[in-house]
Amino acid sequence: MNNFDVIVIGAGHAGCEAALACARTGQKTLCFALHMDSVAFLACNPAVGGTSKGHLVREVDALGGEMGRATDQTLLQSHMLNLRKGPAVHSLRAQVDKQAYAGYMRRVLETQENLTLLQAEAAEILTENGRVCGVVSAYGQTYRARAVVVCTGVYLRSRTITGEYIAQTGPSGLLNSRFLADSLTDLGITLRRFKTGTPPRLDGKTVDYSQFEPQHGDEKIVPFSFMTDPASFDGLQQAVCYLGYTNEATHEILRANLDRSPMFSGVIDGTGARYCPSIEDKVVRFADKPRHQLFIEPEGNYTDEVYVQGFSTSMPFDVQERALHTIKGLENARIVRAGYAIEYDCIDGRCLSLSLMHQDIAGLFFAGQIVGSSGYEEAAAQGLLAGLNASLYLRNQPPLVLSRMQAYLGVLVDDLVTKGTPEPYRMMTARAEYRLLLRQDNADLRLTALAHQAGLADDVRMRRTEQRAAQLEALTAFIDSARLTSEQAQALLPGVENVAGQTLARLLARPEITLTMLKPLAPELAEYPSDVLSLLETEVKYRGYIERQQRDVERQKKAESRVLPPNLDYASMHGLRTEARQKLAAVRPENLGQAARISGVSPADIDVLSVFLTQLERRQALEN
Amino acid sequence: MIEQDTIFALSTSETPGGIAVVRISGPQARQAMALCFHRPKGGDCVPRMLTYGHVMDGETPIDECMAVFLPAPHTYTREDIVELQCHGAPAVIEQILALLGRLPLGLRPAAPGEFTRRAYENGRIDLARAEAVMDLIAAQSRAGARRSLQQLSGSLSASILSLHDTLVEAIAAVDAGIDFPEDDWEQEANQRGFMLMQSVREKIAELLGSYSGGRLVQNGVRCAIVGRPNVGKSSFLNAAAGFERALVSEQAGTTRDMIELALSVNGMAITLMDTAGVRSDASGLERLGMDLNVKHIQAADVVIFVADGSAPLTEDDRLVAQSLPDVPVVVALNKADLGCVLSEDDFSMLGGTPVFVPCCARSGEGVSAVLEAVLEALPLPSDGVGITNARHADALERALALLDRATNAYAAGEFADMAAMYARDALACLDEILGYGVEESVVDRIFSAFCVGK
Ligand SMILES: Nc1nc2c(ncn2[C@@H]2O[C@H](COP(=O)(O)OP(=O)(O)OP(=O)(O)O)[C@@H](O)[C@H]2O)c(=O)[nH]1
Ligand SMILES: [Mg+2]
Repeated sequence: MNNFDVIVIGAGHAGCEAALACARTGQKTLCFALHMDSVAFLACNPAVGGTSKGHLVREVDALGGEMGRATDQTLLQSHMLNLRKGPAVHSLRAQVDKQAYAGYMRRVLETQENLTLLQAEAAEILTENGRVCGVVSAYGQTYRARAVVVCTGVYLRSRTITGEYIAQTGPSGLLNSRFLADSLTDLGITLRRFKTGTPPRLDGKTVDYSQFEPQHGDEKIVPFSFMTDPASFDGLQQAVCYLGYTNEATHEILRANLDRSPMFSGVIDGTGARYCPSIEDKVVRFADKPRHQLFIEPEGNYTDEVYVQGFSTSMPFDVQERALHTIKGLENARIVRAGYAIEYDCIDGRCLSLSLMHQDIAGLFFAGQIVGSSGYEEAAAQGLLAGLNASLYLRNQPPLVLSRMQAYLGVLVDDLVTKGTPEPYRMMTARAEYRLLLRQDNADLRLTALAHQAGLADDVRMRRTEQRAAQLEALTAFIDSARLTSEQAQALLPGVENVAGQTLARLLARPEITLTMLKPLAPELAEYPSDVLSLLETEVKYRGYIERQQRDVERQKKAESRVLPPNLDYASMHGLRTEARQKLAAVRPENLGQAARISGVSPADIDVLSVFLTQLERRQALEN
Repeated sequence: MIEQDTIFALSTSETPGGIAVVRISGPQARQAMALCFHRPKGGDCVPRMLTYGHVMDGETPIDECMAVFLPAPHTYTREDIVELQCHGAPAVIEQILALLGRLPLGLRPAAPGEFTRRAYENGRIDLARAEAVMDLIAAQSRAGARRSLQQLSGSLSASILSLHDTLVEAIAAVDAGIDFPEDDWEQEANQRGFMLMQSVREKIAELLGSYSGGRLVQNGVRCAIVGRPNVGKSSFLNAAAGFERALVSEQAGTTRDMIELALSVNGMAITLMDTAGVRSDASGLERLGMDLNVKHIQAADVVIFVADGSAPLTEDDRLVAQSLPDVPVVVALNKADLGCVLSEDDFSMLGGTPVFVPCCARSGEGVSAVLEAVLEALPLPSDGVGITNARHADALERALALLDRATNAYAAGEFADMAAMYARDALACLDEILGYGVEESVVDRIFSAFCVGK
């Protein structure tokens, strides 16, 4: 009855994907939820995706995860960001209906074969000879499993703070986790304290929208999931968001009450994220800015509550209210839920391996905010990977490790595990060195085959990916050979010399030519679906650079393929600098490429390691 | 074999003088030799045979040298190896190393101890010596770090560091706009990124402008004395020397071999090169002397064009004028004691802005004025921040080209993502100059400079 293959602790965005990944690959899975009504709860903004986060959602979907489909199914508004900045950084973001989203996801979990949900607090993780063997609930029940995925989000010993009011709760007054932190400490895992925050929610009926600038969704909705038919959005009435601004009066109130701010008075000691400052933080750090931007976003169709993006705060309730009332259009706004800061325990990702399994405790995986990240998308992506790797571990198969060259998810995990993060980590395109390759439009071509091989992406999805790949290939061959007549070329680019006789690919590579301009001239193009056409356009426009990045990738791959044994004695290794010795011993990199990314390890240190590895490899060859 | 790329480095110690050996190892070594080493008779070298020839940068000879091609696997690294044995002058070595890095073959400078590491990893050095190899790498990298610091003067490294810094800021601004497209400062950040990239671009161009001047300060000025026979070139050299360095006679065609004289003028080292007079009907030995001349004149940083000011120009004077290299020219109107019939107008065929100075080599009058004019004609850096190292200049040139592409991508309007990529590559070029250890922290910069957040 209480015997499972794997236990997932937590049913937030990481936990849901982890549990699904395990169950879908045939593992008997138990998923602990602190509260069944907060499964897949969107505790902060009512939106999924955004720059680089949209890429992550695409990758989760390509790997056979659920977040993309859940978003498509509960969409209120959709917007492709950065359309003016080059295809590599186009990013999808969707407003979703919070309750519907959580409801959809809970239903998916409930109907998933091999998956059991349980409302209970996980109190202790059991181990035996350095291996995980089960979990004890706060009720005292023992559940057996050979793998555990810890996805406690921001709930571990969390407390929320609004001005002078401090509550020992999770987000929005939900129960927190009280016992598990001690169990982790007992396992020898060092905990640290991070902090994040959320803005107040207002009663939409009390907002004067005429004072705001409406923000509409895209006319043509691009789905998140590669499996969603774009036509399914036809006729969807998209919700509207609203743009407004704070002003000097707002800032004045915040400044005058800084002594009551828990952040400035020292009540909060957790490390906050620089990219997610509270409004009082912004007012202090960017004192010369006369106004800050706000977006009013709907929380869902079921409610009048609206979210005030840009106004995250932990000021006392009365200060929040007075500050909001200075804003044009919010003069009479009523707070439904106050903004708050939340502090929670998390681990240092550097104790994990790239599979997200703990380096010393076999079978113990971590994913999501407990690893030091922030954001639903970052959590979901890690959850999927940790869940899948727990399943592979149980099946005695090598883990799926994604490199920085393969996926944003690879960058995310490598950053958390190799570099570690001093603050809640947010995905950014600026962190991805191969971002021309890691686009949201090719996530399936990059990843689906890997997930299919690992048993997570199903055959239908795999066939869809193969079909897209085949179409892209045929289309590429076509435009690399097709040419316009010289009249057509002249009409297209009047006055430009030497265009006649050029292939369509050469023409398309010019910045001023778009595929839309070529369509009337080459009727064959109409045979291909629009997603494949735009994929092609990107690859052609970036061809030179993509090829260059691919060469870098090849070089990098070579370094990544040289495996460093986990128990190397760096301390006594010849030729390493002292700093490098310490850093290498702390991170215990899995390969030479990863070692090179550790700060404090120089190229000469890597060469030294390389010589050492050669010696090792040759000794092993001799022995065999 | 583990490595695929081809590396190169100076493999003798870096003491000036004597013979220096530049070693190239890897699959492209032979190709590199074909591109930059020219035998007088043309054609490929016979493996393992030492061959005479020139290291050529395109059409320009850099140095006279001996070269040998050693095919894999019976070499130190077990890869193809080419060795160039050239003159040990630091300036020449720098030019050769820069040239190798610029060849379209993807060659790169060897890392500390890399030849030995390859030798080891390719099985040339036995297992037991691994630790010695590891220690060697460590020692060479420490020495290399010291050396690269020495090559960068304090003010130069400061100005390149500040360029590096500005470029990080530029990338951060562009990336901030990409990662936070809906924030109200996005447009501003975008423009700022563009502006900063352009300013870095301009400063790099400026630094590069100082390259020739900086090199001159470091290595001294090579100044050729040219002119038709008998105008008084050797007399000029002697007057500058203060003793009879060269043979003087009324006989045209007296000077056959080039004669050098090292001088210090206002603290600058100048090497005067007296050359054989140029004339169209030369033959025999005189002809040979003239041909040899051409090489030295082409390598000059500046030229003194000696003319007999007391006589009208001749066809041979015009022949000299036509064959001058593209460097600053000072016209010495010699034999001023015999009167002057020439004016600037007679030299309109020279183009550019040559300086005219009358002098009398026989008495020595006006000779120092000519030498001062020579110094003034050179682009010497005023504040001392000058690039002197060919590899640094080369890295800056690549950075410049990349920033051009970055700003072009930007100007095209749509490709902020590409612009940031090019700028990152340019940053890597600056890293090459500064050496390792400069952490770029675009993400940190985004957070400190922009008010991001939800
Ligand atoms: N009157 C006068 N005669 C000069 C002066 N300078 C050189 N001469 C004479 O010109 C003749 C040629 O001088 P050189 O210095 O040998 O001339 P050159 O240009 O080196 O000649 P080649 O080596 O043959 O090319 C000699 O008789 C010099 O004495 C000058 O300033 N005034
Ligand atoms: Mg002479």
